[in-house]
Amino acid sequence: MQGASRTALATEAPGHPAVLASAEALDDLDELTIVARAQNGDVHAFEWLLSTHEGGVFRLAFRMLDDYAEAEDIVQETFIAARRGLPDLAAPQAFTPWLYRAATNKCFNNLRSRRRHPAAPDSFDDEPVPGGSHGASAVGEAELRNQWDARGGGICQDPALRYEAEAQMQALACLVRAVPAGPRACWLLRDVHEFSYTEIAAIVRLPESTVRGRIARTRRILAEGMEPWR
Amino acid sequence: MAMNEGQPRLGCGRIIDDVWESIDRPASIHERTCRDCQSARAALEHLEAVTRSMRDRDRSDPALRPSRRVRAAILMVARAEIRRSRRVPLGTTPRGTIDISEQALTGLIRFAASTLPGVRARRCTIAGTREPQTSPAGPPSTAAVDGEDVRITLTVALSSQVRIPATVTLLRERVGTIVQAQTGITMQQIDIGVEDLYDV
Repeated sequence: MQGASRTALATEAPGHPAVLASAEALDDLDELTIVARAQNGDVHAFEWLLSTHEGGVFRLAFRMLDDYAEAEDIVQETFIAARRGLPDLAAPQAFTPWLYRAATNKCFNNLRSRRRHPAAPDSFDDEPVPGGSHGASAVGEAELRNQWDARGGGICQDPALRYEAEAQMQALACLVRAVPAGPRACWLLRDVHEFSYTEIAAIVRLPESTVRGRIARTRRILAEGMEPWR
Repeated sequence: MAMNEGQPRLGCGRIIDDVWESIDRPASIHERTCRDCQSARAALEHLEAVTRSMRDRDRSDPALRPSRRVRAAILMVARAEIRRSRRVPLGTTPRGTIDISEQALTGLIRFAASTLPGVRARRCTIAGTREPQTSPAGPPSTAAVDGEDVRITLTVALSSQVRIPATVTLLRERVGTIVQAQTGITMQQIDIGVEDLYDV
């Protein structure tokens, strides 16, 4: 409202469920249309994008930083920056890599900040991190899983098989933590988040050949590390 | 292992990437006879299986999602910032001016467009007919809009099943009618841009 004498009319209309729900469901639309609407300031469209991508951004940040609270901070900072930057996004079809680029950069900045405060060192490009980036990290993830399992959310299957599968996933998560941050991001984006090599090259701003090399070396490290489980 | 930029190679000279790329296919003649390739393939297949399990488990794991507090904080900031958009005056009463936010008006226009089958409204900009033309993708103007002199530019995606000229004519009429009925604004110009076709 611009002044005390002015009366606002239907200020919330764009985001009012009664208005939009009566016309169409966003789930029926293509993502390009939803991104365009979010660029145009449609809160409903932005909320749809948030619902669709918040989990993926969180999981990337969690595997990069190995810290639940810091991963939540990355999600919050990434989406607030994305909403502000959306009107300037020239290629709406590149929204998802653009979003993950912002998140990946924020993770790198967070890790660089850790390196300046060496209580929690994390290798960036070359040297593997012995035993993972944080000593307590495996415990943190295990605790999260135990909380979920205690609520009855676990997958129901043979306990011995389930234990072995869980142990293998924990071992892989531990190995991933020991990979330097740059290659780790490339591997996560390819093998976990399933971006193409071209998209990853755009996300991390590196030549595609470098990205391919980093991912191949990371796969080799991880495959060798998983040998005892075969 | 050193993380140099060269592709890692197996003892037989093949690069790991080639083995990975063919992991979904049956082993080649070379792979059936090469111990290096057999070993690498078995190790990578195992890694791929555990990675897939971890990926699927993580996606459905509610413990690996941000809390509702984070989502609420993001949306609170988004709504607060969007509310600061320009306003369009609708009329004057003895108690003051009645106006509508530009975001509310563009929302109404998108709603009007979506009442037509085969039309998906995308971006909409509102300006006066005397203001310079701006692209819907460009930065929004900050100047106040004159309610007597409103021009809109709307971009849409159309179903590949509809006839474009007839649909655009209908769309222009529908938007003008609904906006006039809901706000009293008679738009001076309605520009429609068809930027995409979608299959049903």
